[in-house]
Parts: sequence; structure tokens; C-alpha cells
Amino acid sequence: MSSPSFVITAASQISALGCGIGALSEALTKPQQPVAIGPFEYHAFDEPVFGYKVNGFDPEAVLGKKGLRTKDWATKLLLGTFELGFKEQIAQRTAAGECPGFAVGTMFGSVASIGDFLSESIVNGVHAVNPQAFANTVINAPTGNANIRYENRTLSATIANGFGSSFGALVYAVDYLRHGYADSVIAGGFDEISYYALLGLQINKLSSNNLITPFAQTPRGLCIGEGCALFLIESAERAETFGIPVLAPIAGIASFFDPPQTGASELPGGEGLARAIQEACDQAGITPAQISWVASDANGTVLDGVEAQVLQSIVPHAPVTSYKSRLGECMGGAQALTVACAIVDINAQRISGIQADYPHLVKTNLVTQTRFCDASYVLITMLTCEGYCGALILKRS
Amino acid sequence: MELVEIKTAIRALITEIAEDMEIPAEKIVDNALFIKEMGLDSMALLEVLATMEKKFGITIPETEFPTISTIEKCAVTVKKYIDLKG
Repeated sequence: MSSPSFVITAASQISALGCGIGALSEALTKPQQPVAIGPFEYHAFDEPVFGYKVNGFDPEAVLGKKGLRTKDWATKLLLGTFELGFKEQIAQRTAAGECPGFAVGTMFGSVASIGDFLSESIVNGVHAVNPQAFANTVINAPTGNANIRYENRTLSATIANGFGSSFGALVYAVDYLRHGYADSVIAGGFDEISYYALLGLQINKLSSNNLITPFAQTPRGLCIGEGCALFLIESAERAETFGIPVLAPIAGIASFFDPPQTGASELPGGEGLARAIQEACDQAGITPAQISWVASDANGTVLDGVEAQVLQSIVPHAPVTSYKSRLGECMGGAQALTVACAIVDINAQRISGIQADYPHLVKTNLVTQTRFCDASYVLITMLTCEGYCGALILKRS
Repeated sequence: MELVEIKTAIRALITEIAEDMEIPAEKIVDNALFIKEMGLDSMALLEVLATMEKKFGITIPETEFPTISTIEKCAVTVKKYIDLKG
């Protein structure tokens, strides 16, 4: 199998850790606490709910006032991330005849818009519904709005793979480039906190103490987050030819499906994740022993135990962190945000730990505080409750 | 409900929509045609009607829509259905 020779040349993010890649540098070294979520316009929970809300993002300040009025929060998050990281790049490349495609992952898209649209019609009658809001009620509305704003005429894909949507978008983008369909793709993912997302997660999934504790000995459940991260991906050859600075080469990327097993545990066995890690290493031309550290997908649920077992068996030497301890579970934006954090850390020669200390699974080499690490290869793992698993290896540029 | 109050409400919403569409404020006059002279679109008009229906608790039949072409005419129609509602 040939190695993908693709690189990330620009990145952008909006999350609980702030706006822009630069915001991550300092924010990653500090603990982050969830905040109370709500109130919601049409519904309420019996108990307070906490989550990792986006911090410091003013849509009007970033995007200007025009055209924002009927855009929902999910769209604003995506557009804001585009604007902060790629506005000039898109304009310059488009003027030069190269139009970056868009591949955006999301688990729920604008489910808040869908739910509120229906709720409004139920509560106040169908005549009260704002027709302009209807345009937001499709999962690809945010990406579609990005197409309009940035005059995209090439690839526009919305990837909905549940909790692994942003990873799916990255896989899609690399495959698209590998086939030569485009010179560059802006890929990543987003999701927003909404009543409707929480409604589904509320059933035995949300943390009992409102904290997210990756790899905890006693899994308490996840804590919801929101955010968006995007990357400009292109071939290494192209970046070199045009003298484009590289943030991080993608040394390997692979995904598999490992469905939850029937029986008492109803957990995936871990074989899929193990295969993905090996495949990604093969693409990178390295052995697992050369992985410097791991940015995991652990989110405080029982699935962490499966991921811990796989990591222990394949990369037992590697320190492990989880950025979800500060970002929350950002669903369709999760792995993209993890990649963004990993890029910052790998270039800063450090591992940002979970910034907390609690009894964790003994088989994990969990990093709790930020430490120096001159890494060559960083492994980013994904293991979702739907059975989607993956591995992405970043190389230090 | 006085006509002037209704007009004020409509004008406020149209102004908000117009700002978002970067339509110059001087175009927002009571007798200017929504689409041809102000530059609004049909979706914006539907929003205005839906908002007025919700605000005043009325239902405007679709048969009235073609006649609602200015702020003035919109206000007259809204008042008509407020008065009908009693």
C-alpha cells in the first residue's frame, strides 16, 4: 500500500478553548470546566445540564453583519472557522484558478434548527414558523452556506458518520486528493450543543458528575461539547513546489468498522482500531514502536476501556492524552478538534495532558500534566460507539 | 390596534431584514414596492407575514399575499384581520 503524501498547510478552529489555532497554544495548558447549558427556547431538562460551550466567538465580529440574520449557530460556527483560517487562502487560490473543495463532517448538522422549526409549528402553529428558517433544516445546510459565501464550485461534501464524522471527512478528503480530483480540500467537522442532541445522549450517556474523565477507572459518562476544526489539505509535492509552509504532514490515515458485539458488553472488540493503527503505520512507513505519543478519542465512557486495551497492546510505550477532557465530546467535530490540538502540541514539542487527576485505568499511560516531548510521529485514534474506528498519524513538520 | 402601530412593527422588521441584505435605509419607505423597489425577496416577505401572524395572533389567507406589496398595504391587511378577529 502506497503512503499518502499529503500535508496540512493551514488550520482553523473554534471551540471551548477559544477561536483560531493560536488560541490553543495557551488554552491547552490549562484545565477547562463545563458550564451550564441552556435555557432552550421550547424545552427544558429537569436537572441542569453542563457542557463545553464555544468560548469567545462573536459571529458578527468575524463574519460581518450581512447575511447572518437567518443563519443558525451551527452554520455560524462553520463559517467562522472558514473565515478565521482560510478566507484569504480561498480567495487567492480561486483567483489563481485552483478552487479548494470542502469536505465537512457533522453528526447532527443543524438538528437544533430542525427541532426548533418543528417545535415552533407545534407550540405556536404552522403559520408562526419563519419560512427562512426552513433552509437550515438539512444536515448539509452549513456546508451549503459555505459554498455560497466562498463561491465554491467544486467538491462540497457533508459527511455524516455519527461521532466519527470529522474523521470521515478527513478520510474522504485524502481519498479525493489521492484520486487527483482536486488540488486541495478544506476538510474537518463541527457540531453544536443543542437540546435535541442532549436528549439522545441523556439516556445513560451523560456524565453523572458533569465532568468528562477520559480513561477513568469508573466511567461516568461523557460531557457534551461543541466546536469546529478545519484543515487545508494538499499534496506534499504541491506544497513544496509552491513553497507553501506545512503545518503537519499526514503520514497515514485509515479507518475500519468494528461493530459492537452482541452479548452483555455490547462493545466493539477493538480489532478494527488495531487494524487501523497498523494500516496507518504501514502507510507512514513506520512501526508502532515509533509512535511518540497518542491523542485518543477517550471521553469518559465504557468505550475507553476498549481503546485502552488496544493502545496497551500496540503502543504500550506511548504516553496518551485526550483533548476531550477540555473540549468535551464534540460529536461530529471531535476528531478534527483533536487533530487541531495535536498539531499545536507536536509543533510546540509537548503533550498537553488531561489537566486533571483521578483514578484511571492502569493500562493507560495517561498524561495528566503538560510535558515536553520532541515527537516525530503522533497517533490520533478514533473509536466510536457506532463501531467506526480510525487512526491518523501526524508527522512533525 | 392602530394602523400606525402595525406599520411601525412591520417597518422595524423590514429594516432588520434590509440591514442583513445591505439594502440602503432610504429605500425603506411605506409605499415602496417590496421586491421591485426595496430589493427584498419572496422569502423575506413570507417571514414578514409569518411574524405578523405570530405577533398579532392572526391568520392571513394566501389569497391576500399578492396584494401585500408595500409596508402600507401590508399594514392595512394585518389590521383587517386583527379587526376580524375582534
